[in-house]
Amino acid sequence: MNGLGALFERLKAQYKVWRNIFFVILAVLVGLNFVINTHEPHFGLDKYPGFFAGFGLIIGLVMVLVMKKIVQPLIARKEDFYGDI
Amino acid sequence: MATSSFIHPALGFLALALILPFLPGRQWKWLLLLPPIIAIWSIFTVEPGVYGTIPYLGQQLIWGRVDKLSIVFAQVFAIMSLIGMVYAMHVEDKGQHIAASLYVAGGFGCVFAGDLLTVFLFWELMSIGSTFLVFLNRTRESVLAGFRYFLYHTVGGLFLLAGLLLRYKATGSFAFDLVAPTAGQYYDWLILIGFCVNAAVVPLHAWLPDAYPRGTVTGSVFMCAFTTKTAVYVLARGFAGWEVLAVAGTCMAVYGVLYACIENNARRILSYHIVSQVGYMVAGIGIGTAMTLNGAVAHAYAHILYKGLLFMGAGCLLYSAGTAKLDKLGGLVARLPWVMILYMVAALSISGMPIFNGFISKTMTITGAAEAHRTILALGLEIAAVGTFISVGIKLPYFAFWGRKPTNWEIKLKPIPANMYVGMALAAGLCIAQGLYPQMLYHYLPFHVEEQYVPWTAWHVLQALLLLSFSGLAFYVLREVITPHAKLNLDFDYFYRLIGKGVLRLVCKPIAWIDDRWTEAYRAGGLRGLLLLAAGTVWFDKKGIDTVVDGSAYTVRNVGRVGAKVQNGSLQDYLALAAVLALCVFGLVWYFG
Repeated sequence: MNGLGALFERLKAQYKVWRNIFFVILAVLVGLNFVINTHEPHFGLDKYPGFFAGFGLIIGLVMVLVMKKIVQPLIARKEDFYGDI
Repeated sequence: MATSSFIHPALGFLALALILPFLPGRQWKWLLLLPPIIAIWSIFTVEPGVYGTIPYLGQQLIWGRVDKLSIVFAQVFAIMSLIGMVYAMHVEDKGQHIAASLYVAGGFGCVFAGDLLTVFLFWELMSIGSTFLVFLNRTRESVLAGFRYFLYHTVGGLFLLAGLLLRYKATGSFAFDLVAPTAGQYYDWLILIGFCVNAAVVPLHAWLPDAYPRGTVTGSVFMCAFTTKTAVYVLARGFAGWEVLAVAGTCMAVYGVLYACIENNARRILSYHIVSQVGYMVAGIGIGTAMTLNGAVAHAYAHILYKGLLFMGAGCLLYSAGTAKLDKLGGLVARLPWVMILYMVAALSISGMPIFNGFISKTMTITGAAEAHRTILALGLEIAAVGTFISVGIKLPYFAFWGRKPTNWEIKLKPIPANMYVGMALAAGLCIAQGLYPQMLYHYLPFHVEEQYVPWTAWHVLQALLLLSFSGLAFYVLREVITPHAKLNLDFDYFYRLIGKGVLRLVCKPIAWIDDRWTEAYRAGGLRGLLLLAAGTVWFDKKGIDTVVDGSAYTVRNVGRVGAKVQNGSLQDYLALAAVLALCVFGLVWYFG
């Protein structure tokens, strides 16, 4: 393990700190959105601050849940389903 | 008029493929860098114009249509070929380099082709070269995937051929120009289908996630850059503004990320993201305003660089750890920190994070779509952006490099050659440079816009950060749910295989029937006749022909031996032989015709 790898290991161990920093960044970004916003809303709702935050969060949650919990159980097969591995 | 001041970039690669088999030792590896360097030089110095018109079969084939659109594509092809060759320098298997060279030459040929016949010739060269990049991985899995890939591209090529021949019959020319969306005839649609096969337009896309994860480590790096982007080029050239492409492109963008969300194999995740990212380009072409067309071209340029880098990163995992399946990887950051860093540059680029080149190209396409009042399409592209960051930006690196596995987890890692790191660093440097200085890329965009798009505004940056960081939050919340599983997810290739099986049955049954009847007839009549003939021959032979015939018998036996050696039952070899024969026939016709 070289120096850089060890550094990443140490950073990884402090994952709680990173998580908290991440949450603070999220809050700051939404706060900034009240000051800086688009002058040309294209979708209607995007004139309200926080639209793209909500969009990213909701689309992300729905996409992962629907694909992993509903779609994958329907279309998943064994890895050698086609017998070509 | 034809002048001689343009060195076609394909020439260097063709020459390399031709001489490589005869070079001894190992120092030829430095020669791999020469064709890309010549290509880069050629493209940065060439003046727009029409070069290299060649008469062939009574037609004028145009091999060198050099204009803004072809230059920008050829430029990124040349740069990517250099990066790819650097990344592949350690590979000792000459076959892989030859296949890659032919493949890249095909890409350049298509981009500079001024007529559909030339496009078709190079189109097929690409198809053969890339098939071998899959074969040469030399596992049963990849050989089978290679056959499916070749079969599929042959069918796609036949659509193109049928379209261009019917078009020739109707219009009397092979000209390759923009077809107005309202003037499309049935033969234009055939050509469009041929192009769409290579562009991996859903539902014609399933060859891509089938073959690319099974190519060689270095071969897939080439493949991910050239096939789909050549298709994007020909679509931009011939079919800009076709509404069907706008819708199909958006569907691709969303479809690709949905599948990537549930995939386990790192290279297959990236393959689905090719479908998705090419969707942005196809949508941009379909919408057809100057801004979205420029967005499509810019995105193709950026995409080639970061997707190459992504495949190089995943290739490092495969090369070093022996697998690219996420359920078998984890905790590698301590042991492959530089691979992680370089991979992350590409992952943030594809996600459209500010500072990286996806930010300046993807937002251009989306903004272009929104400004053309295609709200639904723009919304679809934003959805795809969320999914892209979740799977390529977080899921893949999280489960490969960080993950839950203990760091002392024992997996034997093969050391990664320095040249692989150099190739990746080149690509990463360009991704960041273009992100910081958009003019590096925008300068070459071919279509004139009234008001140039400015990516670096406070709002664009904040919008990207909001969208991406909150998609990150979604991943954080659902990190247990999204954990990859070792499963095969059915895709449209299920139907392709059904069609294949159906055709096989259709062909086999009648032929088997005829064969049965023939065997019976032969047994009844043929054998007796043969015996009589043999008796006659013996008599003829004994009467003194022996001496004359002996010589020719030897010849026949020797020819038979060579024939037997060629017919070794390995279809890969037949394919290579057929390609060589086709080239010979082509050359002879050109020389004597």
